[in-house]
Amino acid sequence: MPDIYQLIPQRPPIVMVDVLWSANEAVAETGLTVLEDNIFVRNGHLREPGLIEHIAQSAAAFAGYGTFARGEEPRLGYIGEIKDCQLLALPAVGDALRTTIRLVAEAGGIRLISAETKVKNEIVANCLMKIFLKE
Amino acid sequence: MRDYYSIVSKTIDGLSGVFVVRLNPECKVYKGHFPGEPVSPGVCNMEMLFECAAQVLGHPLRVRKISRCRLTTLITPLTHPELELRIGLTEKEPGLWVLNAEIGKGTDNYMTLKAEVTKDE
Repeated sequence: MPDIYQLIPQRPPIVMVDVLWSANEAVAETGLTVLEDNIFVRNGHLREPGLIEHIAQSAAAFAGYGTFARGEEPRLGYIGEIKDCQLLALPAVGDALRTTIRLVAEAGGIRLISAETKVKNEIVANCLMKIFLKE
Repeated sequence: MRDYYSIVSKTIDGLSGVFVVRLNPECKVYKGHFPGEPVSPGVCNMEMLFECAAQVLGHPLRVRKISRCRLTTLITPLTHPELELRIGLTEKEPGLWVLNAEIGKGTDNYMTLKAEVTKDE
């Protein structure tokens, strides 16, 4: 798999995905290890906005896998909508997040994805997310 | 990211509140979001809403569910330096509140959020 910086447009201090484990047309798996200096960590836990940004950037890495395969730069993407997002647990520093992203629909520059994030096989978050990709 | 924004003024009335905030274009988050093209991260704007909602409730919050959040306008600290955050909380059952919140300016609306929150331990 390519280096994560070849797949996403975000850069430190707001990089919230550190690996793309696998990807095909329909589904991708990503990961993030929560470090103490993560900007969304408070009192040893990754807070809700950090979890959501991890899902958004996992979707970015998934989209970036396609653009990388075509020899293109990753496109800027913006969250357009979040729905049915359950935030069941806040991961602790040191936890490894593993996220599955499924492409639900794609039209023009809009991608609708579903996401499920686990830590040690326990679901910590899931949601539907609409992402706008910049031309 | 204590320097993402500052509160210019706030009005809290029971479980409702209006906060006027100023975005800080020097915040380090813009170094990475995105290099050479500062865009206020949607999740950081969401975090402002949660923090202001916590002030209205008078207690730190734990967000359990985001039923829906729509982000209809791209916000940057240059194009939208000052924002109005409107917060409304309703107790759904003991210890669980529904948060209805929006970010806008005047009659413009940039983002709406509906969530369920509890008090953080």
